[in-house]
Amino acid sequence: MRQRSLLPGLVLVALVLGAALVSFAWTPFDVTRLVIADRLQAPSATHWLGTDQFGRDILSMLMVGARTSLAVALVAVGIGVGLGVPLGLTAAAGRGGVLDELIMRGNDLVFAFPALVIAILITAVFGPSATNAIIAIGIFNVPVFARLTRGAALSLWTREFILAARVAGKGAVRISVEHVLPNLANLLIVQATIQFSLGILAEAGLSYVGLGAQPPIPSWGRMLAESQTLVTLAPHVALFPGLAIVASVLGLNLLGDALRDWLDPRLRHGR
Amino acid sequence: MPLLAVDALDVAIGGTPILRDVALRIERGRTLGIIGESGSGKSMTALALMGLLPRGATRSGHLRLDGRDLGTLDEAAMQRVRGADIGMIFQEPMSALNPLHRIDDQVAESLMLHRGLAREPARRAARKALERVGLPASIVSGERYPHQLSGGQRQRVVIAIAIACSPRLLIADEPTTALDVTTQAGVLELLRELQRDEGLSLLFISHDLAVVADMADELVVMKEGQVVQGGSFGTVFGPGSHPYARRLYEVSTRVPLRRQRDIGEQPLLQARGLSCSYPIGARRLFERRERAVAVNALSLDIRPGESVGLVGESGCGKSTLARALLGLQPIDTGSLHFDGTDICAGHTRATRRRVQVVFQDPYGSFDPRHRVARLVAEPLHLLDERPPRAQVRERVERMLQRVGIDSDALDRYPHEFSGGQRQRIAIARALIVEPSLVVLDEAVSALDVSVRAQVLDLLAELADEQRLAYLFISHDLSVVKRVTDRLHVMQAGRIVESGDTEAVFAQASHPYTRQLLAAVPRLPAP
Repeated sequence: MRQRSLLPGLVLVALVLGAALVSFAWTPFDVTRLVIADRLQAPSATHWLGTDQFGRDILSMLMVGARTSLAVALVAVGIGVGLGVPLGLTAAAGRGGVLDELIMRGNDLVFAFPALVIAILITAVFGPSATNAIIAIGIFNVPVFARLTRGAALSLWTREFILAARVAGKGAVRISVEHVLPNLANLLIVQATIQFSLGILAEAGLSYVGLGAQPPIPSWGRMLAESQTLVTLAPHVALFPGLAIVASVLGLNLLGDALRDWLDPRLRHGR
Repeated sequence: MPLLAVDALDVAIGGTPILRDVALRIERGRTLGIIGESGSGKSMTALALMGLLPRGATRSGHLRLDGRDLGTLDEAAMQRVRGADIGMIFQEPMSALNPLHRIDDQVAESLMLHRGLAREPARRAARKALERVGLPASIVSGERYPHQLSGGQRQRVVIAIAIACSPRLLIADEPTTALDVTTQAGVLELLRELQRDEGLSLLFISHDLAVVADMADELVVMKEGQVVQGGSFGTVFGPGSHPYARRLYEVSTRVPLRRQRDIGEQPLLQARGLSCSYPIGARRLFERRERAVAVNALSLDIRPGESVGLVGESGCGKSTLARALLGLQPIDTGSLHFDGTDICAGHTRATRRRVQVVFQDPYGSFDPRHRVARLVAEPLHLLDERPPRAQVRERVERMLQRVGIDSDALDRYPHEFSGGQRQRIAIARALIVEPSLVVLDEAVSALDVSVRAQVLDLLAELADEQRLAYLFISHDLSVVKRVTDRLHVMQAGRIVESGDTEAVFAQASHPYTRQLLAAVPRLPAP
């Protein structure tokens, strides 16, 4: 069944991803070159999206900035999945034991802290950089995946095919890897897509306050911050980075929705 | 004029014909039974009558209720018919009741809709209806929620909702299939009473021949969307009956042939004073939670090659006992030995190899993401040395062939098979490590009668071939009677009666056993 949100989602994500990948090979202009003479030009044939207050081509900045946003969000989600999923599986395999309690209380602890404030704290203490932004965002992805995995895994553990595996003498670790994880894959994929979009937002937020990737590396959030005072003068300088953020987040959310709808009925195909 | 006259009913979904030329008659105050296996279209017929077919379904034919053509009614008119003129009860009472509403409100809803009563008068009338179905306020408060009632009580609530507005026709679609045998007897008796006292006509749908034979005045047998034969019990199953009807009768009463098996002397499995419990109630921070005892100081022997039955109703602890014997449930006290080895603390690798299991749910007992070859080979994990890949595949293939599954099944997924085929695959999985004891936990309960007969035949053959011992757990006494040598009856965690199967059936000593046996519907000779 063709999902209505699949096509727009795919298109948007492909656009952003494409821009990021192409930027490794080529950008219309060099993002590190400052040409004050060309500053604040409206979109034109030479500069498709115009120039900012330092004469840098906005399109090129967006393309390179896409790299930053995608990379930070990707690795942060990677940390969340890499640490959160095993924790969730362990908690579920324990089935109400001490380990489960420990992991869940740890989760609660992390959730209790406001994510953005802690991220600011981390980057402020350890120095602002893309790497520290990744760590800060990644930390808050871990409990999300841990809780999700644990919940779904717990209900799987009561299923008869898990009992059959236990009767076949398999231990908890083996069962978690061979049986539980593959059956959670769909759920995790959908959540990862959503966390990815949140990661892009978080990175934009951090770089807006100056704590993400530092100049001369372009970043969408910083572009927004720098263009704040120029909104009345040259709105396009703020508009385009904003649109870029919206497009990526929207695209990923639509993709996540479509994925969820597409993957779910397939699971029920068995009946 | 019959109360309900159906002629030339055709239903198709998305172009595929589901029902073809179905015709029925129900007279006032009488019961018509529809018998058929899964996919025969019996539920679809009921839904067609109620106008509750799924979207994309087309219906044609004549449906006359008391002379009134239901086919011409629009949705609004049909809504007035449902509940007021025709009531319906379904198989799964938990799904039919809204878990968030009180039971008296659910019954009152029908009254408020069709009789225009206000909330309080409707509630009062609802309480009367609940009393009529055997749930007076003194025993079960109308303020309770569905999850606070037992299965049988919930089904009674569903019946109360259906009869609240005194409909002339009640459609019951497998109303007692999900219930225990004694509960079933109670609900069937209630339906009979309602028919006697209110002159209710009943359309009773089931796959269980004995139940339908008991309840119905007239019968209709359906197969693949068509009516195969109709008439009284004698007409349908007696001489001159349609071959399909005759086959259904035959498989419902069939006893698999068992050769004289030589049963060992020394017990294979020995349980003494076994007790298992599990915690209930909310988790507390410092105190230990209360525990519910599921198995209470139970003792049991199974000898090599013997087929032992364990019967009991829901909640008696038989599944917990099965898990304890399989090492899946911690044992609180007592002793458990397998062939001399103490397995109280759990099975060893060697003992696990010799005790395997077949579960009830052919849909849930396989990992949906693994292919058949991998699923059947899973117990090979228990062998000391895992054989090479090619050998594993060959072994799986041989085992599947033995249970009647083609070798092209190896690379397919479980959802591609029918319920009966999946149970065969489950049996293959259980037997691939050549165990001595197989625990069959309601292994045939979810299967159609004809498929059930085939699987029971297969199990009997395999038992003879490989000198297998079975622990056959079931709530269905008629099945247990046919396949076991010895029988234990379980109630509330204890075994209340044991003995040779035939002896227990002929002359039960414990009152509970007698109660169970009396409740089993008997299929008369045609």
